[in-house]
Amino acid sequence: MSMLSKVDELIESSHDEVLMCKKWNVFYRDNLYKEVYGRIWPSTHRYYFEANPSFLTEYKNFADMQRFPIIMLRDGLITLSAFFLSNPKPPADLESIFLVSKKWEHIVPKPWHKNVALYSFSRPKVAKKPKIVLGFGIFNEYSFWKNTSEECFLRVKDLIPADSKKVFYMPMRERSVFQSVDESPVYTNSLKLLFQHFGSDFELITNNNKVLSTKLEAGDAILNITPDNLLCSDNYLNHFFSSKNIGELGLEETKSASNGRKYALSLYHDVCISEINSEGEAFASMFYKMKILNVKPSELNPKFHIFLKELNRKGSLKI
Amino acid sequence: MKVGLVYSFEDSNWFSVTKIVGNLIKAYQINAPEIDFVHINFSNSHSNDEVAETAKKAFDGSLDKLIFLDHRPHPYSFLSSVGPSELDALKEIVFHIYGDFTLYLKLWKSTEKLLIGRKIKFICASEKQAKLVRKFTQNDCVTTCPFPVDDKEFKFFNKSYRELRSTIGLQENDFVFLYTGRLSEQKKSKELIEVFLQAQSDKRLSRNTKLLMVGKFDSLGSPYLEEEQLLGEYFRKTKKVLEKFSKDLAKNVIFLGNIPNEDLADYYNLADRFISFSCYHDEDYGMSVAESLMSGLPCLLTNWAGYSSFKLEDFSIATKHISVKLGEKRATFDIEEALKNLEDCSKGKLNATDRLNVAKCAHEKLSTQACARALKIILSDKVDCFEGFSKLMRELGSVSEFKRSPFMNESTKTYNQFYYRVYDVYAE
Repeated sequence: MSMLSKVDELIESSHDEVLMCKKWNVFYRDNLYKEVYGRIWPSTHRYYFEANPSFLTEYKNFADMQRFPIIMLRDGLITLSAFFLSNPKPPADLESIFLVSKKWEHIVPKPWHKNVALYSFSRPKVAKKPKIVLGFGIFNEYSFWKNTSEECFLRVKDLIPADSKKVFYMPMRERSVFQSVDESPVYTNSLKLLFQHFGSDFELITNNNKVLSTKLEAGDAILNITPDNLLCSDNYLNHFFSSKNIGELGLEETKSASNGRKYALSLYHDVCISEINSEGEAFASMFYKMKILNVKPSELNPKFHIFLKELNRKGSLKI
Repeated sequence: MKVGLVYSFEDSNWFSVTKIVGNLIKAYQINAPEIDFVHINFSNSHSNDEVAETAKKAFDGSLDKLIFLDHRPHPYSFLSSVGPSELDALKEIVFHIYGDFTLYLKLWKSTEKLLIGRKIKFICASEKQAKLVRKFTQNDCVTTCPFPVDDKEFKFFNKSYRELRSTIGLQENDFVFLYTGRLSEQKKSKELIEVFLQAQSDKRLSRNTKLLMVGKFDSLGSPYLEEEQLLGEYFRKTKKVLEKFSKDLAKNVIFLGNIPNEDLADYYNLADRFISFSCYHDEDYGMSVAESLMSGLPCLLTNWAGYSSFKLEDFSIATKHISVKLGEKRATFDIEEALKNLEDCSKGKLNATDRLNVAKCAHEKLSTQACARALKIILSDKVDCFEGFSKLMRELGSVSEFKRSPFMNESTKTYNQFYYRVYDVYAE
């Protein structure tokens, strides 16, 4: 049976016992990431799909994962690469299928291919002249590895039509996402850039809960200011607004793979699941360098974060 | 006479409430030149100090009557900011009651001391809700008046809808059932789709019978039983129901998503029967049912709560009702009766004359003018002083002080005895 048929069968035959959202005994593998995901809420808020969208840290170990025949990993580069580098081969008895964001196809090791499929989303078309544009993002170090904050805000300025009402969601957190890192310089710089580009011609939301009650309609648009955040690859806000038929400015149209399967998540957006094609060279190179430099592959290890950043800076890790 | 209309100047999160409040204001103001209306902004976004300031300002010019039009915030914080002498000076305090009455029992219990001995009227939008609210009061100070519908917005247009029908893939001879509202566990929209497709599968409905679903999916679940849902959960569950049937059948259910309010009247006009199988506790009225009838569209409804009030005495074919009974976990409608009614309804399209009659009868009962007349009578009616809330309010108000779901048996996650004591009237 092909991978996609297997995925199809698991999604179609899903029932309460294999649904993550019905899981009552969630063991977080470590408290740090439980807190990290809490601090970047609502990006990490749960949504429903029979493939169990969740984060690696929500599973204690492989035995815990085995309880779910299919798991859709919403993780970003940091936790995902730590997971694959720590487990370059899946356990022999692992039957669960993992769905990984198509964006991270290149970091999936070859031995994992029999257990992995990829996901991407097709989302509503964006209105030509949106009345309101809601810009949101995660304003910490982990959003600006690929592009600097200056480049990100220039993109925002280019994308938002001048006569659209602008609303920006820039949550003020009591604590940094990682407590050991002072993220206030990144946050204040982002605020500075916002004022530099838009003057005072915008509404600012700093309260987490308020972003979910922002009144947007089908003629409005959203804009992810930090689409390359490395902590979360599958942002709840995208689903929340897509379900209301609100398109995203600057979003490259998802071309679903010809052999892919689509599953509707709302009247207006789908998740597309496709087979993995990469040969895993990027992973092999990353694994080799990690061994040479003797870096412990753990999302809890700050040196591992630096290692990944360096790989990216030198061009050996695509983000 | 000076009357204070208390409501939030901000739009409600519930679109129907925004419409209801606007229409109530119109209804009060029609034919009332003798009344000086003072509009008082009482909003959820106001701090306690702002509420106190608003209350003080409102009473500066001395008021004769105070009418609470909105459902949120609860009147308690406003009334508790007003001094007793000012409350004594009021000839009457009127509360328009919404479906969320039972969610605020704790606050109503706290309000009791401010109301006892004063002239109080609770206005419910339907007879069954009035029955429910009467269970909570010592003396009868509960009356009914429907929430008004603006007849300029909703009426029978008597024109061809061939073009609009074709844009959504409907043929001229298709029989169209229309549901408008939230697509939600609470509204049983999934069950509605299932029964409709079952009827088609059993060949009780012809293939040219369509079900038009207008509205957006929600994920509110059943808060009374602490059954919460995730974003997309109800959509995916509905999708599974559709997948149980052949694609050929499933395509007869057409989802239009949310459509602008100004286009709704056209959809009521192009359809052949409004349909809703909701058995939800907040169904104290049914604004979309009222709008349908005003547009000359007959209805097929559950005989539940506010829906039961939609019987047009002069035109009985306008509404058909399906029996409902209270279950352990939810109220359920009679499926066989629903199937039979679907079949019967689909066999008889109302002609233009009949639809015009439906619209006329509805106008007599549900329009802003009709409600203005009813409200005028209610305001002029004498009422005894409020003697306080009943024992049931004290019991349930206390439970809801420390429990989110006072109607749930926590060990079995089913309804408890309070649920049956309160909601039995909705299923009568």
